[in-house]
Amino acid sequence: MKTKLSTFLISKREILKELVTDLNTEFKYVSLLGVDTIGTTYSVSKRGSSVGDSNWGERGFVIRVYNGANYSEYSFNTLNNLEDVKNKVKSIVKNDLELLVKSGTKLMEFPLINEEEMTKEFHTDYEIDPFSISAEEKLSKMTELMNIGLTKSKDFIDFRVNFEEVKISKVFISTKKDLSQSILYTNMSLIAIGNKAESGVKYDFRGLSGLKGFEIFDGALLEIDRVSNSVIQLFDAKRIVPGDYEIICDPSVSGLIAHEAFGHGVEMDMFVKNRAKGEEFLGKQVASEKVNMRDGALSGDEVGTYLFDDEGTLGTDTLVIEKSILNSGISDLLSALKLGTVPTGNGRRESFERKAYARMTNTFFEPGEDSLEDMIKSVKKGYMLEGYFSGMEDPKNWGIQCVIAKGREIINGEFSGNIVSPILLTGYVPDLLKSVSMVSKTPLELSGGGACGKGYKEWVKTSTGGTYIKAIGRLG
Amino acid sequence: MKNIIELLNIKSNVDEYKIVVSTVSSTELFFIKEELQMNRSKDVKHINITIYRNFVENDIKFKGSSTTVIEPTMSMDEISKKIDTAALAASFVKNQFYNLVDPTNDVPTDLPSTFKEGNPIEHISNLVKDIFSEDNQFEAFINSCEFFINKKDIRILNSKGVDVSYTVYDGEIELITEANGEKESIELFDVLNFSDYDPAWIKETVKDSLYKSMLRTKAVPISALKDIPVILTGEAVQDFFSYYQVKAAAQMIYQKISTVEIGDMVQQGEIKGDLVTATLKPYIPNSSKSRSYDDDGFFLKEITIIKDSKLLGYYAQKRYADYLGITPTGGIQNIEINCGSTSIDDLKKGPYLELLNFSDFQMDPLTGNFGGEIRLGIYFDGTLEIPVTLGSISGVAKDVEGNMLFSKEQQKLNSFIGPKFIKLNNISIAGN
Repeated sequence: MKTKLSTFLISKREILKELVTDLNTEFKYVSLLGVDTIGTTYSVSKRGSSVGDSNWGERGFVIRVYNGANYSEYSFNTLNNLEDVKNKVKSIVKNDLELLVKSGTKLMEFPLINEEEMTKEFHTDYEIDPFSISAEEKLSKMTELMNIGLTKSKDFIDFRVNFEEVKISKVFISTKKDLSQSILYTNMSLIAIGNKAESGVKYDFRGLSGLKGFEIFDGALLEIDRVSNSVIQLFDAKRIVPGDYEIICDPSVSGLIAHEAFGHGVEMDMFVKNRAKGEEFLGKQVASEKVNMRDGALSGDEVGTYLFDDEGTLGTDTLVIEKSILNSGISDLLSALKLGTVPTGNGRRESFERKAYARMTNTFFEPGEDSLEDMIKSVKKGYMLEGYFSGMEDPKNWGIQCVIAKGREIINGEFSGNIVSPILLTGYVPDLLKSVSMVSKTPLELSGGGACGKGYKEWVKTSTGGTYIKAIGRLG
Repeated sequence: MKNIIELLNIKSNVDEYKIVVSTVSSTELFFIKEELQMNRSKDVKHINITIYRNFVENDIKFKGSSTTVIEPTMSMDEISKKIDTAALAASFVKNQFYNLVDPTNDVPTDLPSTFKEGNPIEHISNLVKDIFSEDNQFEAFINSCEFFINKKDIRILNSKGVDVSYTVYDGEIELITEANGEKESIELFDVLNFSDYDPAWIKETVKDSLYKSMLRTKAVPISALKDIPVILTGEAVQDFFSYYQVKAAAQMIYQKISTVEIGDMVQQGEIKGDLVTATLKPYIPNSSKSRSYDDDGFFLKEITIIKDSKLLGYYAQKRYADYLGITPTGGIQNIEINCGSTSIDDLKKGPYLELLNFSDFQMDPLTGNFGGEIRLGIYFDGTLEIPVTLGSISGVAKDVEGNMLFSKEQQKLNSFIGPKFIKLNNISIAGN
């Protein structure tokens, strides 16, 4: 089945085109992004359940105009009076900028956007329309999963099941472009929470995501044992002795490293600000020869997939690291204009209410040629790192922080049965990536259950992943 | 709005409802060094409706709810369908019964802000001048910054007659400072949140960030350290104390994640150090979280929930207060933690590691696990103060809370007032 564009956007498309045409008489460049995203979240837990519209839901518009030096934007969500919208855009450009310039503000110069004529549309596929399934059926299935989860340990105080369905509809209209896309994705999470007197509260989660419909539920049952066993193991977890260890990262941790280390590190709006060390390393070695890394709306089929970004640039597939060499950054349109590079279609907004920045989409290390068994056997003393809670980037100075759910100790090529938690993986990114000595040939795993921020804001859906990688990591 | 209320009142599938209307206008500026890269503005309205269904099964009362967003561009037909869908979903949500908030005659506190009067672009222009007036000090400079002033008009209504409104100003500056060291340039990241114009505080924050940036250029990678006293500063202090607020939350008690009972000590084991005292405050000057009502329209009043580590009462919104049979505090978003009696000079006697900036200090409020990668610290080995970087700290609250010392010096960070420093003992540091 193909996802359909929202009837609201279809019905308003001509009015929006007229708005762009009218503003174009005054401004050399005008574009409009219209968004109508619907979604619902369902949560079931032992002590209560909830249903509500997804936080990703939005319906509104953002207009961008060339103001003679750079670009001004206006976000709004009513269409009652288009004259008000036009006047507001003119006021932002003329009155506000005039006052700022009078008060001593210098305007940074940007070239005029030069677009090619383009009309395109895009619709993702799914098997079962999740919106057609009743809330009763979804909640019933989720309650069943929760009840199975709760039987896995007498020490579980809760087993939460979350499901989210989101349908994105976007139109991008400028003088030369007329683009539309509709994308359906779903995600689920299973969170086991246990409490034992001697070890306190422990929890872990497993996520499922994808450009899927209600069929995502098919995979949920298999995750119950994984997440339950993980929490049962965490009850006996010990504190790690801080130090440098041989580590094998599972695909989720590999993906987090790819994302935090060189995903954020090559966002090219940071190049414009001189905030990314990556700029000076383009064409240079930043990792071991085992490392290939990609990002792009077309690099994978996950929650970061789209036809065009929030500035109307078509999505691409960027080989960020090619056999150890930093090959390319990822950019939004305005940064590419300023840097004189070709935009990669990575200009994304948290919502129509926010500015566009260079952002990741689907980011991962490519599979290698090693077997996972050989990787484990090769470890003298180290840990298999499994699952994570968060990560933080440092594009200027290439530090990395990953909060890892747990580590399974490996001694002389075998799991000892010891578990450590919590773990912080930190260090200098090139040291970490240059130490990558093995990459598994297991299938690429992408996961898009969470969201990515830039600093502490501007959340967007991204997917990350890879296969298993072996490296040396600082754990604390 | 009148049409929506009328629609809700005539629908038989809606037992009760709550409406939260937010009308937001913003002025936003984005700078790279001293040059304006982009200016933005927005005018948006959001209407969030929660539909409640009350039902009885086996003589037990339940309440189901579902929240839906009504967009200003929706037709009445669309709105009606959204309400029906939410009402149907709510009928399958089987939660323990609770009551909605009742209206009161309490008089709300006025939330003062200079931003109320005049032109927003002039206000934001003043912020720009204040920030850049402190540029280029300590061999450090401003790399880039983003300015936001949001005016939020909030109205909260429910089917029991609550109809309250207030206006809040939510200001934010994202500040990146940079300094060139001998080998490389470094940066530090700061976020300033506020609701009023305080040029002295803004200038002081910029100055402090520039100074720390300079310090980071001189920092050396930290060595692994065992059992070193650690001094947390700034936002890490606020994050650390969030553990105790969550521990005292009625929602956590109801969900059996927290088991602390009223009268219990929130710090475990023998306590030789300072005791936590926490007061929830609806209003703190210049906090973007100050308000007289929570999201349910409940009128907020100041309350001390933890006194000398003893839990006096739970932090509870109406729903969870009903579940536990206690008086609600409402969802108060500001907190004050009492300072200690030790001066920073006394905290710094003997070797210590003072942590000035993290990549992202994290306190897991469920487990008490805390930690973060160190971007900048000062290691005092007993003789010399050495700026350090990289490495990481990690620990568990229960292992350190018996021996914490809070400074008598105070800090204010938007919605938090509390000690400027916390000293934790016996922490191990991962490093070279």
